[in-house]
Amino acid sequence: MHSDYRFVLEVRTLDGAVLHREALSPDWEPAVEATRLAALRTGGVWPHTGSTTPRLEPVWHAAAGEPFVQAVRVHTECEGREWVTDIPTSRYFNGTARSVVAAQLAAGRIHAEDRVRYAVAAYAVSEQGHGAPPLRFVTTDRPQTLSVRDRRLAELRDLSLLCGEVDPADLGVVLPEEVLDEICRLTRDAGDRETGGILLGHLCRDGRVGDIGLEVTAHVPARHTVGDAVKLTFTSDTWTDVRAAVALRRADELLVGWWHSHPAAAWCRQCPSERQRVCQLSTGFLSSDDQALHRVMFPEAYTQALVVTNSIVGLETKLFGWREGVLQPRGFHLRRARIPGSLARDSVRPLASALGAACAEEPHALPDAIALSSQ
Amino acid sequence: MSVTAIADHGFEVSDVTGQKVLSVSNVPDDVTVSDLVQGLVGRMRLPSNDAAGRPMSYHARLDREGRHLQGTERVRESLQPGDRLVLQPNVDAGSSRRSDGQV
Repeated sequence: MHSDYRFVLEVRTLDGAVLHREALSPDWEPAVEATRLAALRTGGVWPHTGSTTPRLEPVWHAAAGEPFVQAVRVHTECEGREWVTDIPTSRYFNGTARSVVAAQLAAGRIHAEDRVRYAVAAYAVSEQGHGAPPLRFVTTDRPQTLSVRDRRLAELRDLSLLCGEVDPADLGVVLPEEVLDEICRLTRDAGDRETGGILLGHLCRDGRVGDIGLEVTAHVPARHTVGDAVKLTFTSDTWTDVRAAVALRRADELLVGWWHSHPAAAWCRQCPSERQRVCQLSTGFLSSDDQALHRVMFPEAYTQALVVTNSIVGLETKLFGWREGVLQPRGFHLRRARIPGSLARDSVRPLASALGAACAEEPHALPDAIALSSQ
Repeated sequence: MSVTAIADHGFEVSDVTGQKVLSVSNVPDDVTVSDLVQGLVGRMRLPSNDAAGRPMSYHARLDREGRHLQGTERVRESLQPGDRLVLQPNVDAGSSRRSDGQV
């Protein structure tokens, strides 16, 4: 990633006094991956970031002006064409800002009752600093072709329940009920311990609508892990096992994400049941470790993280995906199977029933869901 | 097999997903697997630290032999032209604590 700017986080009081400034060493990889996915969705191309270095520039804040930044603009090239994406900085640096504020709180420089805000500023770099020491060997990028299948997205979502919060800008995700059902069973069988697995699937392009969707086709239970009630370690042997499973399946599947369980019933066992029912730990979330794992293993913007929470109220499923370089909760389509007493169906929060006239009036209902209701 | 072969003809390194692949060549005689991995992590834009700022542990898996290479092994002695190494980390999920910045 090339940038002629250095970025600084400023923490200020509400009346504008600067409390703290901190130089940022941003991880721009998620922003670059967001640009690659945008190029794939809109142009059908998958920029290889090894052949041309992505370039980054600040988008100055509309109200505050330079040096304050409201977004960063990522430029990447592919097949002679430039692809550009603006990544809002307010969300991109939210986690960093929270960490900085927490550190200032711990150091006593701000107090719990203080209200602060943060801004990101960019300053031109007058001379390039020293980068990483040169490698003692030669490396050459070997761009990999991203497999994308031709498939009608409406067909993909046929007989599906729309679940969770849906953002129209998100890549559509279809998850088969039988896959989620097995995940839920493994979660329940694991009891008080965290467990997990890797999601496999395909990217699908619908030439008719000119967009991409993600179809999860299977999951590989994570073996050779080390787990307890609060931690699950995916080891090198876990990844060896997963790669072997993918090779054995010979279905040209991508590693499209992962899932893991939160045994909230075990975490909260000492609390009264009334508190457990409303406890935040009983709702799906990604911890900082979870987010870091996703960043390490699944930086591509089409990848997903599924959390299955096993609490006093039962199993709850929540899906997270990259949105403008930040992991956010998101909706998905649960493609139904004929499984009586499905754990999967009980674990999701359908946004709208796929059957019934109410679906047509649901503001987030997708055209294919409306069509289904008339059948 | 000539020990100069690996220095000239090279091998490949990929991440677990297979989406990031590099060819590596002209490896000096004294470069160890640890040196190699350390250099490639940055080159492949893989995080070098975990969420707590601790160095991440990447293993170099040589599928041809079905084993992880030791960090002290010399690259030119352990690899053959055309080999593929896969960098596979030990990585943690979890923590029951829902602190600031969590999604």
